[in-house]
Amino acid sequence: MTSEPMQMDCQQAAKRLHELIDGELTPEIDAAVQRHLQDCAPCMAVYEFEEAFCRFVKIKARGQTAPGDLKQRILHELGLSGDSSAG
Amino acid sequence: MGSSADDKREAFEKEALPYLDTVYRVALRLAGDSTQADDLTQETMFKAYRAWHQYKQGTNVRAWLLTILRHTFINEYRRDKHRGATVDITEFEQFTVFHDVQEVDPEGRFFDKIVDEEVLRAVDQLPEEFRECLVLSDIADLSYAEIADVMKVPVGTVKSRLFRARQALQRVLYDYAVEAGYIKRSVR
Repeated sequence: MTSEPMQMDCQQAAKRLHELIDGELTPEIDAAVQRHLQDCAPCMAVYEFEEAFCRFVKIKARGQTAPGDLKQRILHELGLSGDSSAG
Repeated sequence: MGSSADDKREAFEKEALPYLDTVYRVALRLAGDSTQADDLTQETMFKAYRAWHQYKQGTNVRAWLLTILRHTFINEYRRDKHRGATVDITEFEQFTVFHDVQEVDPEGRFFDKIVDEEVLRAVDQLPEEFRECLVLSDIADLSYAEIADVMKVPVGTVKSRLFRARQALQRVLYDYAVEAGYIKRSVR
């Protein structure tokens, strides 16, 4: 016997949007939110806006790199060669 | 055959050093100025190297480095808990900006006109506990469970702080975009 798939209303789905964006939901809840979004254009529009905003923040906030002299100082002090790629 | 000091150096270089930039980015957002961020980054990497034997192989080395960074920041650098925080997060409605812009820019394209420095300035205005969650998630790419572990708070707290931090950041950047003329404020 297979159980009925989980159903969600707009309010329940809205509470889970950021967890969906962050990949933090269990497969069952993830699928339920996705099903709701497929059937609900207003919720899908909010999801797409939130997802775009989170992507935007990540891109804008990850642009800086450690200054070259700081890297050199750390490598020198620890006796490292610095061959590994920094990220 | 290499010595254990060589093995340690090699392992640290291969596994921890690639995250130097991430450590620096997080240090900048916690400390708030580049001089302190330099010192904090350097100290974190030195401490991590000295404590490398305590790192559990197979666990997330990024989360481990950021735990050391956070301890160092709290114990040695933080003087004013509310440094830089100019946003009172309790004042924010917990609504997405989407409802304000859905008629004119439902995809939020106005955000793309905002330069990196302005986004980082807005992040720095968040109260520390909210800023930390956002930085550990959106800059350092840690999971909710890893953030909870680094900050020693429940996962539910991480979830709620991260959501509120993003909503506040969205609101601050929307207000900035309105002032800069990137989008017209809609009347709700």
